[in-house]
Amino acid sequence: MTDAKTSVAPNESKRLGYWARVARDGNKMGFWFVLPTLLLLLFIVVFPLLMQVYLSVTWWTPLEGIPWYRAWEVFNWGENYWYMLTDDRFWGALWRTALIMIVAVPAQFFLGMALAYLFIDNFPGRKIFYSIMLTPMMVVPAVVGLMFFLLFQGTGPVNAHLGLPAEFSWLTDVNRAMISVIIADIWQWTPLMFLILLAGMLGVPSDQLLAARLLGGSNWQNFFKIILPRMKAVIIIAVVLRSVECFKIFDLIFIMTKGGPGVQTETISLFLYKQTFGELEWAYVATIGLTILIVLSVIAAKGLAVMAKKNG
Amino acid sequence: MSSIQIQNVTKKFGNFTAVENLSLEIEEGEFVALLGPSGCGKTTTMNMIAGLEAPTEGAILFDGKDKSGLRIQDRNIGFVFQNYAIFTHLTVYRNLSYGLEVKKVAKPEIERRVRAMADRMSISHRLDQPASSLSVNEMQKLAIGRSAIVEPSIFLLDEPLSNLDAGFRAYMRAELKVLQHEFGQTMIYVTHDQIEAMSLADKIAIIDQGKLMQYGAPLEIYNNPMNRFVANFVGSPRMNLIDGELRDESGQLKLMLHGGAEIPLAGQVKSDFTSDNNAHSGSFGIRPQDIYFGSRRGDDDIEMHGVVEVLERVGPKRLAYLQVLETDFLAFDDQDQLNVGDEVRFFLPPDKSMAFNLSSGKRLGASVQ
Amino acid sequence: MTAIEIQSVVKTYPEFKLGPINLAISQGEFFGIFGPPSSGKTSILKLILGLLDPDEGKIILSQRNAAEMDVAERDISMVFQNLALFPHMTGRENIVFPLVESGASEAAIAKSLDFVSEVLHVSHILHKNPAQMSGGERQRIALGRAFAADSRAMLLDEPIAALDARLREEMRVELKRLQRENNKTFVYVSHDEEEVMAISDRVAVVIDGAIAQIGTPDEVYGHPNSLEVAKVIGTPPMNLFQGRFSDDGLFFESDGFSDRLQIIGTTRKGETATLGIRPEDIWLTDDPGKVGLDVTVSSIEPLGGYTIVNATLGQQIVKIRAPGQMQFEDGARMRATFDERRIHLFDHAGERV
Repeated sequence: MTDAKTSVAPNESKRLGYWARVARDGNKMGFWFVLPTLLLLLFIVVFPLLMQVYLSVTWWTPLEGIPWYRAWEVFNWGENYWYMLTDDRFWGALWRTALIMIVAVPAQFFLGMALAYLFIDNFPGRKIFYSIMLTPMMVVPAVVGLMFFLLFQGTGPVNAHLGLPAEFSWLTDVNRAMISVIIADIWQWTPLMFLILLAGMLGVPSDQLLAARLLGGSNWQNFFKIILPRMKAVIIIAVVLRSVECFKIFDLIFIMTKGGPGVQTETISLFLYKQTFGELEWAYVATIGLTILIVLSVIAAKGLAVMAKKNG
Repeated sequence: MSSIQIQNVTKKFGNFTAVENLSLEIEEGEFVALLGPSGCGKTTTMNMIAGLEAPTEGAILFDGKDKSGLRIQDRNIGFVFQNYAIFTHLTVYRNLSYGLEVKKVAKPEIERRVRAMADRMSISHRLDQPASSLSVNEMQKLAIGRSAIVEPSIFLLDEPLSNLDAGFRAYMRAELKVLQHEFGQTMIYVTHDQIEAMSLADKIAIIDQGKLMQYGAPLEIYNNPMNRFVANFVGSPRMNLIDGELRDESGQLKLMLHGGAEIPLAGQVKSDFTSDNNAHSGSFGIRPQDIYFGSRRGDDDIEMHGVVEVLERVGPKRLAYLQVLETDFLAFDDQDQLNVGDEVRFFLPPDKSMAFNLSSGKRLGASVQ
Repeated sequence: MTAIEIQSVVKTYPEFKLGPINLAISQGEFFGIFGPPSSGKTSILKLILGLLDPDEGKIILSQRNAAEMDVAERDISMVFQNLALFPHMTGRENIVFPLVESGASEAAIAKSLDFVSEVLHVSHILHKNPAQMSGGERQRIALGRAFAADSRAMLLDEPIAALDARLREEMRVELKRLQRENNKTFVYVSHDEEEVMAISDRVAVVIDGAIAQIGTPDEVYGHPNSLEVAKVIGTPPMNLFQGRFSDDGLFFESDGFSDRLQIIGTTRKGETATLGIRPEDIWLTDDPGKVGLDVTVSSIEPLGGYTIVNATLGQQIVKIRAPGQMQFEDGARMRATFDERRIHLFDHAGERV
């Protein structure tokens, strides 16, 4: 059956062309397939970044009367950065963002972990509970904002349920506004934490867990010695992800308090929004945006480095 | 150390019966293999002994006591998993010490016992390394050591050798036997490999489709299989089991085979077949090493003619597939004298042959109690 | 006629070097490639298939240089260890897949399907999905798919490793029949020495990326040409005794032996050497006349047809394969002796003497 093929005259000298060799070499072929995407990414990511760097060292605003690319005419030697360091409103926004992060992320983590632990074993109705658990995450943040805006009204269900008078205000009180916002954030994002941690927990090989039990380890001991160490990578991912997301929290607060009362719930995102559309200080916004990007990148890189080391 | 009584245990998963009315007595310090093809219920049986599954019916007693209420943690069972279930995020040392740590054993005592066990399993030089860096062979040793260090009352092993290469498997087989003598523990070993079961166990329980087929010492089972399944399953290469219809042609009883060949029955095996009046079809069994070539050795020996179809080298010998019309007989080519395509004469000694009822699978004849 | 020829092929990886490999596989041959895990067996298959290009040397398929042929043109089918069946297709669809892909006519497909289901006895499972089949049935479908392609040669990478022991024994004879009746070229790769030795017409033993020996199973078993081959061929493995040649080169001396062993003279006078004796060539005896080993029985493995006696000689374990069934007290002290015509001698470099 192979005779027909053998009669074809062998042509030893025939060499394959470049593309034919590419077709047989997985690495080369991969490069050509990825190239268009790489170019697109370059355009989408690198170009705006460079633009931001450029603007951040100028006085340029849209009212300047010159197009942005001529912003070098108002070059200011990075004075924006100095201004930022001495801007109390910036530091206040940063502090409030950090506060949300410090309170909400650990709360989400512990709640998520506890819920995930409940969900590793099968129980009746597990699937239904699972679906219910995940709904808050799917709700549009603006709608969550609206929901909590209504819940925390003076005459709203929260006060009614707690038996508090209508004058007991949540969203307009200097301290309680922040608490309301944090509660709303926890409500919305605990499910995501739960989902990631559950995936991590299910990734712990069940026979290792069984082996640990057979060796006499209590559930508590096995959780701390077997499950938790094995989840390190997932935990770092979840915490870093949620922490970074805290800098982006916007719609929720915008609807609940608009950053108020005063600037009591004004986070970095709201501050930037106001700077952009209120003050039209676009170069200053570029400065802050860039700074935060760098800080977050450093934090994320640190987290990932720790993770890589643990897994190494 | 414990004795185990499995009493009429049945395990159902929905409509599927994994184990059916199984009873076994395992004595203190005994090494018992649960042997059967995959999906036969042997692993379910072991899981029930370990307490990982609860029997649907029946009871499992340890030294006469029911432990079904106990948590897994409190059962004191050593369990070696097929894939070892090593804690790959911990060092070798911490793997070994885990069972002692969780029991709050004193640090110096842990250290002493870990070092002794590591020495015993010859993995001392690896103690401080991450367990994930071990070779498969070392993981195997670590898995056994980790279970043995807590001195469990019974030791369960789930196909522990199946992931190893052939050379190390042969070594580990001998090693396990020595370990069992040293630990002196009751050991239960699940395997689908009859060679492992034969070479290791004091007793073998052969299970098929959830039912116990035979329980006894390895050679007892090999020499005296109670049914066709056991005869087929135990022994390597497998026993020749030739199915056919019994026919009496003017006093000469024959087994008519599919495809037209026939075995004229004689001697002991003939009386085995006739011992059951209801048997119309039967299975003729003979082990490959009992078939011989050359000149007749016994008056009753059954003479057959066939063609050498395939020759396989199996260890020191060549195994010949002798084709008689559509039926194959396996025999050893002891003298290295056969060639593929040869027409040969061979003999089946009746006193070494066995008879089985084809429909029930039961062994026929007086030689079975 | 040579179906597949590998000439001085070298493939270098960062931490591993394969080759130089020289092999010639004849049309209609059942060729086994045996080697311990990660010795380079699978790389050889990939080179033949065209999934890897050699750094040096060339591969010739039916007198044509394979470097000019792409994977499809090489016309070689492959059965993978994990079978790689398409789970969403029935047995029939799986089998005819390569034919449909290559644009064969309906009639040709039907004919091929008939043929395959006939020789592999799969007619009754053609309508099932792989998930509904037993391990052995899935195996057959995978073989059927490779077979239907009617290719130049079939490469099988541990195709039956996942099956139960008994089923494996049955499948290997069936494979052999299939190959012989259809006069196909099979290249069979496995790390199971017993399997490769049983099934192959010729065997290549691959160790550390190089071919250590090529020969018929009888040759490789009876005359391993190096210590490395002797160690990996045979279950249980060959017993190896360290020792040296006497100064006149006429004897082999080893610590555990009762006397020195007369050998056919060697030029390696006084050098260290290793003596290998297969477990079946050694037996327990009371005969004091021959060179013997004073061993202590440590355990026995009764396997029915034969018995493996594990004994110790000093620190060393000696394995003896005795015919029939026997019982010993553990710890019994015995004299073992061996067949002097069936010994294997290796010099200090591991070469057969």
